[in-house]
Amino acid sequence: MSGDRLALWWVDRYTSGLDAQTQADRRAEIVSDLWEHRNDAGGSLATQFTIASRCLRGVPADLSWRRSRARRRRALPGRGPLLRGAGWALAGTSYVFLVAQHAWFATALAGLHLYGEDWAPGDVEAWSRTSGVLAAALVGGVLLLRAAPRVGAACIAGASLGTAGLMWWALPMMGPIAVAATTGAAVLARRRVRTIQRASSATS
Amino acid sequence: MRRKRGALVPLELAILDAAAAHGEPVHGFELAKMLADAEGARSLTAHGTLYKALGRLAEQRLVEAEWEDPAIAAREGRPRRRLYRVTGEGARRLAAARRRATALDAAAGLA
Repeated sequence: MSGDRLALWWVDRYTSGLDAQTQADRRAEIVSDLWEHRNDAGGSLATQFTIASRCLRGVPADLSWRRSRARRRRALPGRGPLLRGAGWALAGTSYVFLVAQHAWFATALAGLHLYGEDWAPGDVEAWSRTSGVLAAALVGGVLLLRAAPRVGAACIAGASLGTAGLMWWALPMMGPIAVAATTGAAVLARRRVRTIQRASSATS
Repeated sequence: MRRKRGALVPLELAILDAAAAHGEPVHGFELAKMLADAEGARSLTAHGTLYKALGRLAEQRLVEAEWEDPAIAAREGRPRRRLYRVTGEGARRLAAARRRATALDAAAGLA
């Protein structure tokens, strides 16, 4: 990883969760500094090393700056961080529940007979195949979130909402679970898309 | 040790000194170079240290920060600079710090 990439990766990490304007300002300032540094000293390996050194030596100050910003934000009226934390916990739990449920239903694919003793012939096989596909979509969606965020989020949303549709008789429970998992995936994808866009605008 | 509220640390004073001596609005990397030159240091001030200090000075209204006109940056083919300028209050605080330092030096010379 070059010094520039390290510095940009780090600025995205320590500004994550701060308000958008603060994030954008700090990132733009670092982008400008990196450009001026390269322009002044050239793009040699030594310059990249110096940039990496400036980034790493500044980590304690960055963390302290972040803490002070976060404290200021917490001091503002409202329960934003608490609600955000609860939201992520709900989305994460919903996702894990959906994956675990489909993985369990899909056990029939592996020859296990853990459910469906009183089901009509063939129903267990059909249900386990569907569950296998939905579990794959859920897990694959998360794996895709980094490289193809929109596709990843679509997989998770499709599988989550599809589950709620298939289990319509349990909609009061499955509906909120599907919505929570879908919302979490959409927020993660949106963040990732923005990071990709920022990275491409910084390199262009 | 927790710093006294409103007190300036040596780096902040050095930034005020360098920016005031420069006269023109100055951007972060330029300041880092000026600080290194002034101290005869080989390494530049770390990103985090520099921009945290500039942020504190801006909060205390000792410097003013302003993003330059995007058209200028576009014309010169580089990212926009954030330019810092020492305010009147910043110049007053710097002058007071210099007076204190001179008085301390004189006292040390007498001792």
